[in-house]
Amino acid sequence: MLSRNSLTGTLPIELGLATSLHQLDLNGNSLRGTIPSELGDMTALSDLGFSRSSFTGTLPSELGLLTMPSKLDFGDHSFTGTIPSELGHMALLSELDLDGNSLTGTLPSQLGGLTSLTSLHLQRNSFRGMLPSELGRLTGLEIDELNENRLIGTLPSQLGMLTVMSQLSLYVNSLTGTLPSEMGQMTTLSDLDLHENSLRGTLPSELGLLTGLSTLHFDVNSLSGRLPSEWVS
Amino acid sequence: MGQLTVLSDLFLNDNSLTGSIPSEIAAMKDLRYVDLSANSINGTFPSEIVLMKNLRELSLTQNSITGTLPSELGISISLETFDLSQNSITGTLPSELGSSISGLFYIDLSDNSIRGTIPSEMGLLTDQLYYLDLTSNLLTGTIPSVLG
Repeated sequence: MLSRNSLTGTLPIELGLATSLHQLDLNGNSLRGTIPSELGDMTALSDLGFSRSSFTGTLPSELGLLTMPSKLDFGDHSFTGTIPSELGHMALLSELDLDGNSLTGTLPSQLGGLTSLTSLHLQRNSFRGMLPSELGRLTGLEIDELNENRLIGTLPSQLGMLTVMSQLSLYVNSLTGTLPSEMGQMTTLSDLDLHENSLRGTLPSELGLLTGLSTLHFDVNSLSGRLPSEWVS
Repeated sequence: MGQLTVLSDLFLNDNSLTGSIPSEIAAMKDLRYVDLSANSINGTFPSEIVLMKNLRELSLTQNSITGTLPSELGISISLETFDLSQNSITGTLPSELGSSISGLFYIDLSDNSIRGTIPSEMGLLTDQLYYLDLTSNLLTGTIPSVLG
């Protein structure tokens, strides 16, 4: 553990030789450069953190070789490129944080392989394309933040399979279509924020089933129809 | 059976919603912030809503809401900002508004069809009032000196 120092410079490729290292905590340093693909050789790694540094370049597909990590925190760097589909192999990953980078491309359907995931933070990037219906496989997901991207298309009905979700943030995207009534099955939802999209259609009466809902933000869309009396009766 | 009874923030502003505000909304007892502005909501203003014990901000501006201002506004214990501007509200300003104890500091009733005089009781709000807009109504009479 080397967190909260003033380490500078780049990550040495020789890190890949540390094949039995469990935890690499470099949070709170001032490292820069790229993530060497050799990191994928650290197959015993269970925890990896680089907050406050400023990494650039792409996410190496070799990260997918790290089958052990429970948490991958690459938030607030300057990563570019796409999410390698190989990341979907990290079946033990519980938290994936790529918040606040410059990542593009579509969300790979392989993300559906992250079946241990409880929180997914992909907000504040430039992801394009549709929400993959495979997200419905992430049945342990509690927090899903995809806000402030360039996502298009409709909300997949498979969202209804995410029955332990507490926070769903998809605000400031370009989502279209209607609100799927299946969202009423996300009964543990506490915060639902879809503001600033292009959603149409009516407010589903099924949302009245979200008995734990604390905040609802559907503002700045093209929703029509009445306030469903079923939300309160 | 729907029971959004722990909902605290309801933001549906800037859509194309129609119909009236169901009076059952009062069953959402934890509501703190309600913004339904810039829609096409019509029907009368449900007076029950201002009696909700946790409601702090109510914005209904830019709709087609009719009816009168409820005298209950004066007994709200939580309301701080109240924006009903750009609607079709008629009737008079309830004098009870002046007895508000909730810390009401923002009242925008501009662009409606409110008639009559400004009740002198409104002057009782001067200590707490930060913004009061009664522009473009049908008010007559003099401005209470305490408001000036």
